[in-house]
Amino acid sequence: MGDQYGQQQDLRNMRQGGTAAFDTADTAAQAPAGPRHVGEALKARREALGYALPDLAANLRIRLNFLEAIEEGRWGDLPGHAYSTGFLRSYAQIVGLDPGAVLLRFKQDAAGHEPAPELYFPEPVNESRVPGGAVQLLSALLAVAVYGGWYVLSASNRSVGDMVPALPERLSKLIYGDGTVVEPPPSPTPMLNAGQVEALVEGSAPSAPEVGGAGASPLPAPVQRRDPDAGTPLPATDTSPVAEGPVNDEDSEVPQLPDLGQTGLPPAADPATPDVEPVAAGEAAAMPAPPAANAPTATPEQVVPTGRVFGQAEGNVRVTIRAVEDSWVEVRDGKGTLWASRVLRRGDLFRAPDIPGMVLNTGNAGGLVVSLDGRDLAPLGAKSQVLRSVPLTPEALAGR
Amino acid sequence: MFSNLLGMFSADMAIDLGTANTLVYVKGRGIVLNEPSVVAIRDLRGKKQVLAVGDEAKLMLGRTPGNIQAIRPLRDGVIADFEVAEEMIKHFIRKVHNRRSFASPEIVICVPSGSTAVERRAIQESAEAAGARRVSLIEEPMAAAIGAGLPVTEPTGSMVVDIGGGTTEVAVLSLNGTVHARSARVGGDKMDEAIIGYIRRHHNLLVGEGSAERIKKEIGSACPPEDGEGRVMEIKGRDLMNGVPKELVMSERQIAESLAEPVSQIIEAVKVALEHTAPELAADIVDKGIVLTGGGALLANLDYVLRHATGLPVSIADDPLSCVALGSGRALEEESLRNVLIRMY
Repeated sequence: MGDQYGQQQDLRNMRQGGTAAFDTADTAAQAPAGPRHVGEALKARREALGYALPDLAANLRIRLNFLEAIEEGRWGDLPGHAYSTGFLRSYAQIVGLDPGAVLLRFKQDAAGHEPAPELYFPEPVNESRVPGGAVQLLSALLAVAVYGGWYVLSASNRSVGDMVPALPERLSKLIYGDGTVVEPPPSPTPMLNAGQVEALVEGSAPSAPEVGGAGASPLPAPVQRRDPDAGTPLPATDTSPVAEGPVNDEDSEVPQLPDLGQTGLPPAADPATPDVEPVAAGEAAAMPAPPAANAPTATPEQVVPTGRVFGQAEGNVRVTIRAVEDSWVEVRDGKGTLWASRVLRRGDLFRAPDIPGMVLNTGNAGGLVVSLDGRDLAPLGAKSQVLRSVPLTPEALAGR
Repeated sequence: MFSNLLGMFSADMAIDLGTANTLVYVKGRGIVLNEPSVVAIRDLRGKKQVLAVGDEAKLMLGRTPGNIQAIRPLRDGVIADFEVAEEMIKHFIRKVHNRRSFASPEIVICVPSGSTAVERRAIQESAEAAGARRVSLIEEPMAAAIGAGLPVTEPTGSMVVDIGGGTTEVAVLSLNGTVHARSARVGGDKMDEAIIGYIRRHHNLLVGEGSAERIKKEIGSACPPEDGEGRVMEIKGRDLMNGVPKELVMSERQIAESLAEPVSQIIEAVKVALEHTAPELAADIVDKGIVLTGGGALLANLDYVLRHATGLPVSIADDPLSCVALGSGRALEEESLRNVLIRMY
């Protein structure tokens, strides 16, 4: 290649009317030696040949300012590396220097100045998306919340209505108008043990704080109420109709109170004392225990609180299922029609229609009491026992 | 994902599948192979066998007995003989790709900008059949410009003239894309043919392709010397009149005369490309000029002729023969140049 260029350069010199052909060894030695950079070497050579720079520019078709930049060593003013080397090669050829040596020197000179051209391509600008990240996050949270709410509702098999707490009895009485201002239920009393009651019976007043300390709120009234000796004047109040008379006879002993503590859950006790007449209470005040006595007799089964009623709504039915605990039941008739498939809450009642082939599936056999013609039958099974296909027809139940 | 993993083990390569020479650039190693695109095939009782590829085969070109054929599978920059081209690519890949790596390589191959979709597909299929994992194509002028170090990714016009063996590619490039490209089916081969035709017409001497190429390299010039005959060279061939071998002395002036036709075609292609260049790009080109790459750029005085025909500065790239292979290799290696690669399917 170098050979070719050498010959080419001879031709050029002839064409330019140049003086002589220079052998490459001479110029190669010359170029790196004297001048500070390759541009000065070229300039010296050009001036020695007597060429003017503008003539050279016209001949090489290279812009004059580029040639000046080369001669003055301003490498930064030259276009890219690929072009600069081309210019230098042309220049070297026309003034009869070896292009190879000149380019080598140029690369050394300009090495620090011009790094290898970085080829990069502009990345397309991302279009800004319409919903920002915050909006997306918010909507995702909202979606999760909505789904979660729906899931909780549907999973617990309750409607929104069920989630509203039952109306407190006091208020419901107000609404239905069957009572005066209702006293707080005597629930605190169960907390008392026998000894305490004794103490109360004797020395009424001071005990009040103590009872209050026992944990329940409106105590003074019930406590006082129970004071037999004071006999009277007072508030001693509660005697439910049920508890009157006979009951008093039966349970005249104070020590029965502990039983109350065991059994007398507030809800159970509540219905037992629907009406409280101060006057009546006064009459009954002789006996301290009535309310206490009352509670134990009221077994949970007999209590029918605000239970819902399912199944056949109208008419008489012979078989009913009452839940004493929350129990899942499924009732089908002989044709497979589903009559109920739900959780019966405590106190709920299912009135089984009188259809042949009725069967019951339940997840809590001990929590259900089946009645036939109003008579409670023996329990179906133990608590939490799962029973399937228990016949619910009167004929089948009669045998139990 | 998996192919990325394989890519770490395979020696990905870029191939400048030229009409005259095939260069192979291996990722991380540079140009490792530069051999003529010639395949010698022996016909053994109707069964074809590859006898030699590359340098060995080129020596056989025009000197083969009846049962051996030395074939150049590419003509005018595109594959003319698919089977032979496939064998050649396979041979080069095998030669370059070390056997230890089990993964097949990703290959980038150059195609002329003027090649048709059918031709491109044929090249891609040949490479796939030769065992490539994935084949991408790159247009030759783009590869040449990248190899010459032109700022092709910038919003500035660059004009490159790549004179190969079969085609001359003239292109104006900007922003990783081709603004205008012309592919003239003239190149080194056409120059050789012109020399052969000239000598036969004027001297009744028939010379082979190999001799013609040697003449072109030694005393070929794009324009006649200003005075005298220039350099001279002894030429050997067969006399057409009496059929005996004969020797003849040819001068540079005569060869320049014979090359006038292909050179004027190249100039024409450059001029047409300039005519189709948008004014802003033309302004860039006026400043920086044209860069010549490819073996044809080594033809003496071609830059001089082009400079005077166009009035633009004309530079010859460093190592013009390797520009295309270097550029293809760079496109293979550099992520920012990936989008110049073409995939047919």
